[in-house]
Amino acid sequence: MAQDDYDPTPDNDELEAHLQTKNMVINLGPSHPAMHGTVRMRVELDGEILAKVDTEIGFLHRGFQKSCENVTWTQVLPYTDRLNYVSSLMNNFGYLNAVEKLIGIEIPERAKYIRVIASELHRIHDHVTATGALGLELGAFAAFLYGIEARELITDRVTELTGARLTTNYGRIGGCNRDLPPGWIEKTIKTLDRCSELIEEVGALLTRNRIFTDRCRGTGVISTEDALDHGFTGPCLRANGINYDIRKAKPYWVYDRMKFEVPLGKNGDNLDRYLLRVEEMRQSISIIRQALEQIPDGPVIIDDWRIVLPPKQEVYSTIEGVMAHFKLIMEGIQVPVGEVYDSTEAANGELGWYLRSDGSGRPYKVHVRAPGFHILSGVGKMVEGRMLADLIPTFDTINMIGGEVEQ
Amino acid sequence: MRDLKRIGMVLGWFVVLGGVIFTLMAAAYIGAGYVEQFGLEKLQVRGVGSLVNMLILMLAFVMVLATLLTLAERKWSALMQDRIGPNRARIDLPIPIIGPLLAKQSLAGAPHILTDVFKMLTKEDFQPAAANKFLFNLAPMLAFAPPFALFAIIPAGPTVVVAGQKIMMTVSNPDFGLLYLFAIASLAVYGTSLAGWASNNKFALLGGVRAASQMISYEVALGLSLVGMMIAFGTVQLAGPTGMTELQSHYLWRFGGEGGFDIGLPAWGILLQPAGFILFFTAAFAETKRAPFDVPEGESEIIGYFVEYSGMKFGLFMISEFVEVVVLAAVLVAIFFGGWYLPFGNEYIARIPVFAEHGWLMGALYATVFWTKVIAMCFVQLMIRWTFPRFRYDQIQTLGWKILLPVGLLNVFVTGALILWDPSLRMLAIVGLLEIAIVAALTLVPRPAERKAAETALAHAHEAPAPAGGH
Amino acid sequence: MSTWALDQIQQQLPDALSQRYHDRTGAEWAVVRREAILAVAQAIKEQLGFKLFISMDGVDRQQLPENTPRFEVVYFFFNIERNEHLRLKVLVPEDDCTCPTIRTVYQGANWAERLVWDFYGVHFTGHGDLRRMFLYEEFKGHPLRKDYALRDRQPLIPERPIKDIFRGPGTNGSTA
Repeated sequence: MAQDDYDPTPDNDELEAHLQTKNMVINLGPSHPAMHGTVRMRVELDGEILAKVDTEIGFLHRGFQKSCENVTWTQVLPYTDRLNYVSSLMNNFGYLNAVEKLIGIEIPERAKYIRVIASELHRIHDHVTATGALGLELGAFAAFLYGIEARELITDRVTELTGARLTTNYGRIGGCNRDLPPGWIEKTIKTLDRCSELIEEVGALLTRNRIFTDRCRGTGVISTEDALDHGFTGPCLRANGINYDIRKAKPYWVYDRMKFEVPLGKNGDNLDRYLLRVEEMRQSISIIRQALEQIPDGPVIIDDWRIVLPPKQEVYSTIEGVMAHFKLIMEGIQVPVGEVYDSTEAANGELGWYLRSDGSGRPYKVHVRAPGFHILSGVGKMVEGRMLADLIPTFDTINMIGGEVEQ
Repeated sequence: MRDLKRIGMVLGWFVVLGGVIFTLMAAAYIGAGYVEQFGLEKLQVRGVGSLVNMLILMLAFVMVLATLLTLAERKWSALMQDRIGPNRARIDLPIPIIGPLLAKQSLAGAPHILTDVFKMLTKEDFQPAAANKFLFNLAPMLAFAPPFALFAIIPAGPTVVVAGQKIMMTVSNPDFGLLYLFAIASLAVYGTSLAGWASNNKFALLGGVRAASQMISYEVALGLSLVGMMIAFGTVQLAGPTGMTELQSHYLWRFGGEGGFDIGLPAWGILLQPAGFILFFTAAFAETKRAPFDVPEGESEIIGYFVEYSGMKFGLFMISEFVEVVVLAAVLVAIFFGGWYLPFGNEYIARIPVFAEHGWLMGALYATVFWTKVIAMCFVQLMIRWTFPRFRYDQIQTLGWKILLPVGLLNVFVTGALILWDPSLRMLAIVGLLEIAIVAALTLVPRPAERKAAETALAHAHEAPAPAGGH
Repeated sequence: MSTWALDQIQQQLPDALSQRYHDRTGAEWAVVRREAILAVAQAIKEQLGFKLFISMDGVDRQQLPENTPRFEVVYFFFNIERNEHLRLKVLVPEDDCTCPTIRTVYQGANWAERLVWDFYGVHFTGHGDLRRMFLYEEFKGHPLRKDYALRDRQPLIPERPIKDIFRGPGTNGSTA
């Protein structure tokens, strides 16, 4: 070989040929411990880095809208339980609120208070599950189980109120179907005391843990523009510092009489979302305490037999009662023709209902704007280019609930 | 009340285990003594007794302890986690009176050990069709054997005279002591990475690769962390008259008790080398692949390198993890916590006539001390395992290379300088005590208020401008 | 009450809105002409500050008294500064069941449009990735159309051939 042919720099093409790698495609889910419910993620891995994420949902689709269109307005209620099954009361009340707006009725004061109390109980229920599960999936099992104790206590109170642990089916169009049980207020105050202890305990286990904060800080970041674009609401949007809480923005029921703060984050990362949920639980506890103090006496449901089932005494003894009962059961509530979009603040964000009535006893169209659906659509953006392990806390802090996302 | 019950439960386990240990160790000493005697007289061979050591220490003892740990882990983790723990498995014997009585007792969950074993043994041994059969079957064995072999150099009790024979409660005491430990410990990586690769499963492959990289990078810190101890004691042996255990029974400062109950500050490794202890503990913990270093398993991410294994093959992986816990605890005790010695009163005990007369009694007592320390260290490991979240893969590497390695190097230099300055180890101990004090202070001093506020760095919305009214 | 926003839209894009009306709760709606929806989306996002994409869905008007054109696509947006919702509608006829996509403006519309396509069969032109959202690709028909019976059955579909399943690196399934 001639001297001038010699090239001291190595052949680049050849060097790279040895290093040529292929991305590995793996399926996370539909049954995988990290995928809450049944979500399938087709993930392209470059080593530990997520090169591409394609989220596929629908494994839990149950035809929510089709079912709702074929039952009476009241019978939709049990279906709403199954949307976000961790905070079913809020779905119940969100739906009822929209229907009441469409009919144009105002529910009694006491019912409004009961709805606020029950909603906030389930907000704690939801957040404590989300933060606990975050700990669980990062490996801190203890935090989860302390959270579960708080959750169990709340579930007990909800059981006493509604008769069911998860699928509450509580509340009726025009108010609530039953009053607070005797002694419930005192028990709830005790529950709240224990819950705030437990929440602080979970917070101490996680917030001050360096490994935990390192795992959460700066991961799952989404820019404010993307968050708005994808339709993030609730804690996930507020973690970006955007002050949008329907309880404050458009107060419904009696939220305008409660003193509470809406915590805001700064960075839009997992840590902010986690801290925000912990802080929201504290605020919820304070709201429930205020509501329990202020709650007035009175009826819990309006007195209008076109909407509300008459009392059993009337049904058995008067012809009007029998007629009203029969009509309501067989034909359903005659909701006037029209449409409405109404939203309440559920645990994960704006729970919107677009209802349409054609004047018959059944809804013509029930569209639910589930907060999780829009948040899940942004997950790919939050984790692409990050490590596989970052997917786990991200999935937890957005608190994806299969039931509401996949309808 | 609840806390008292929990503490009582932990202590109860210690008492039960202590009793079991004492009996077993006494049997080990006596058995070894008489076997040795038999060997000498009938076979004219020396060292048959260590065969008993091997059988009892390595097979019976470590296995029993690891098995008990599976239950202890469940029970202890339950009380750390605000739950009851396993209590449903019952023993239902067809005996008239005892049978029904026994069936009513949960026996603190003890039958779960049996049910676990039966479950593992009777499950279908499933093999993926596309897996490499030979490597697939080899991997659990490779994962299982090294932790066991590690135990060979751990001195579990003093050398005493039984039946006229000197009995050493260690399987072997090679000159290269700790180097054997490093060599064997690094073999464990083959089992896990082979398991990951041979399963022909992408999740398992990820787990295997993670395990390999994690274990290889922590080897370095593991070796470096003990160099300080080697310098301080001038030996790499654990057992024997010049081994680390023996040297740790000496007092740094003696506070008195000449002729009576002696008391003082012993030259335990933890006092001399607290930094080395923390480094070794961390690195060795990473080698056991348990939380917070359970990235190879990462049950919520990739399920782990053993995702395709079932039945007893999975059981081997699981039990090898527990064996690793026991062995790590034993190594820690032997190097840093004075081995089988009590912190004080050793000379006093040696003078008590009963112990001087019956070597096995003294041996069993000290061995119980050793194993109690081991169980305490196991408890510490379980506590960490059950409260800490998992590291991320890159954070593990950062910790290993950017923190443990430089600190380890620094520790070697500082230790070397201090030993040169003052060979009596007292200077080293003073620096060590200072280090302990600093760590304790950093942990215990409450956080300043502003840092506390920074942790909940959330601006409250009442300061933000109220949104305009609408709708 | 998004009167302000609708006024603004009418000012900027004079022939975008074909109809405005109030619903029973007093909230105002506007029907946007189909061709104009993309321009309207751009205008409301960039100039009117409706940055938060709330939701969208379809309605099959087949059984309503006013049933032509057959489909509606409803859009909801939110303006955080002014604290108001915007409710828009696009009418889509059955024989030309298409609607321009707004995915290019609001990324959140990606999944929502896939959902409307899945349930109502409204084809969003320019979407680019219009797969079904919840149902499987072989699903016959669109279930939320009123002519899809409640208990309709779907045909069995053949299993996908094994060679379609991607096998990664491993001892036996190398695709190199």
